[in-house]
Amino acid sequence: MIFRRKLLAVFALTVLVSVAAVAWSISSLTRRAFEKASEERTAALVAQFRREFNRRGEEVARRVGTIAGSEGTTRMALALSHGSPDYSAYLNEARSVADNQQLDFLEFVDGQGTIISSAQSPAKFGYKESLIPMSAIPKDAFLKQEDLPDVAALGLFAVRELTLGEKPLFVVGGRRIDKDFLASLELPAGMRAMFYQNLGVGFSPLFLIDSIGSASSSLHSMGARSGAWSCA
Amino acid sequence: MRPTGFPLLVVSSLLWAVSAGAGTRPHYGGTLDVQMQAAPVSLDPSDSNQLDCRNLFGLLFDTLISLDEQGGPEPALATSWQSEPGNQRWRLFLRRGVTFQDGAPVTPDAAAASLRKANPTWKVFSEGEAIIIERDSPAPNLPAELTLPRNSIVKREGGKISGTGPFAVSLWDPGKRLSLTARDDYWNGRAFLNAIEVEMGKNLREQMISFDLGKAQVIEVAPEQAHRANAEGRRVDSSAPVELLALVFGHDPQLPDDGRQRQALALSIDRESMNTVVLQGGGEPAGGLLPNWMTGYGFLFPAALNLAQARQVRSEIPHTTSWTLGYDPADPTAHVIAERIALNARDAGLGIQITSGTGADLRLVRIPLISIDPQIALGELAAGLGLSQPKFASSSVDDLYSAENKLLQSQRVIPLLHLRMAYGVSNTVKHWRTGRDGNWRLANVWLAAEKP
Repeated sequence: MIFRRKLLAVFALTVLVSVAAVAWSISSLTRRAFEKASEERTAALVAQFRREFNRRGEEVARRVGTIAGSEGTTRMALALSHGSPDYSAYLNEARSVADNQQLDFLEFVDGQGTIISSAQSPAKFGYKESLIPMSAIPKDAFLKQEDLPDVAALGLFAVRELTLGEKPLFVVGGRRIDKDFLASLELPAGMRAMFYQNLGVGFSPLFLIDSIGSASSSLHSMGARSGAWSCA
Repeated sequence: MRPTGFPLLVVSSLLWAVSAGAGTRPHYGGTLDVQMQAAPVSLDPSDSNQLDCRNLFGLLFDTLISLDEQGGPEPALATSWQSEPGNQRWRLFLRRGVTFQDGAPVTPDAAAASLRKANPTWKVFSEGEAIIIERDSPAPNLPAELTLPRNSIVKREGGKISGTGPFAVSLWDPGKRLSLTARDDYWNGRAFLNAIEVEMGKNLREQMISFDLGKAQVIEVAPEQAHRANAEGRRVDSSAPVELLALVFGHDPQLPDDGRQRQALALSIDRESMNTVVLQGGGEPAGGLLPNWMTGYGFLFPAALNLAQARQVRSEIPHTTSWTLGYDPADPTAHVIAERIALNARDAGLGIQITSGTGADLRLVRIPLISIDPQIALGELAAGLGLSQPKFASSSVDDLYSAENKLLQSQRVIPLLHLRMAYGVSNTVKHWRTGRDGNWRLANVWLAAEKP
């Protein structure tokens, strides 16, 4: 009896260990496969984001370049070269041009950084555009925080210079980086991208957005099971 | 060959001269097409919510007394008036032979009933051929008060109203369309125009398009558009600056620091830029409630930007409050002005958040000055801004200045600009004149034939 019991125990232990080993190895393999797939999808998304970001940057730069080469801008630069600008003549100029070129942000700025006309904040005429160093204009598109009257926004900007005579005129144009930008990314099934706009001093859930809008509420409901990644 | 050519040339020249002369001489006839933004649902001038319809009321109704261009009272439906010592009791003598649109004669009883409806606190009654008005307190300025549109003489019967004005209503579609026909029996002479068609509820852009298409002959033009419209070859007629643009606080300052913060805000605002750039010179910077042309002392209330002093006053306040500034979301210019005020305030170290919602700490408002009589204008302005009524001991300028200064000292209101009223007028409309107060002067208007 004792031998039979011992044999049963050894057999049961062997079966238990074998099952556990198989379960562990399957679980481990599966997890590794999922992690690899997830990493691949994330890498694909990041690459897609970068492509889209660069494409948008080139698009913004192209549109700003078109504006800088337009007849209206040339006239403005000529007027500027003749003396101090008449702000009243250009109050709605930037908004009108921005609408035509489908830009969210557009400002005409003189050599001292003084805003001559602003699409996003027409009341800013005569104020300084302090966030862009006019002495070292970036050639490519860049991210910039834009302080709007009611809220700050993140935009992808480009600057082009037009010099007629001694006084340069800068065209600063841009497009928002927001939920519409996220919506333009084609995500694999089951994947969700969120975006944190680093616009405040500390973390604010309001700045966390997805393709629908503020992601803070939906993130709450998800119990933060999806990872958020940031850029900016 | 007989020289028959010369007499023919003379005759044809004479005929041409006569026909050309007829085109430039005033003549009866024609319909004036007018468009406006306001969409009144009532034509009753006692309705206080219809300040922007006063030009319509002027076509349909008369007051007992009117104001001349210098602001002096002159007879209208009343031929004369006199006050008893103390200026509390006034006697007005009615013009004879005047009739309402429905043919009923204007009697002292009818006029008294009309004034009682518009002024429930007045004691108004007829006495023989005269109308007697008794007030609770001395009212030396009663003649000017009687020139307000709400004091027009109106016959109200069975829900219908009838006036004594130069035009009678032939069609009334509330808030949409008003057709007026000239009255042949008007007591002050028939108007040259046969009719006036008024289209209501049209925004300024729609009006400008109609004007350019020749569908409207008189339109409203925003003050900031007047200069451009004129530069583009349109005929634009403007009034004196008769509309106050101001910031109004919801309540009196609760603490001394609150008052100082309001003072800092008033000093930080760049009214000149606001006027020259945002409003394209369509107004004048204002430090006072009444425009300088009306009082002559407007320059005593400083309107210039003084950022150094604003910062100095701000530095004396240990803790400032961040305010919300409300504006009319339907007015794009108001949005830009509100933004500019917020930027100016930030320069002085003050926080202002603009909002198009209700419940703001201060609001950007536009209030037309309803009379060119300064005391009446100040009283109506105070009522419109929710301020206490100014008290006048006499009609002197000193008294007026004291009353206006007292209203400003309350720190409930920060005047910004006085704006002009502008109208686009077709070249076919002859002898058009906009009064200094923005009222249409249609008595001599006639229509010329349109040139092909």
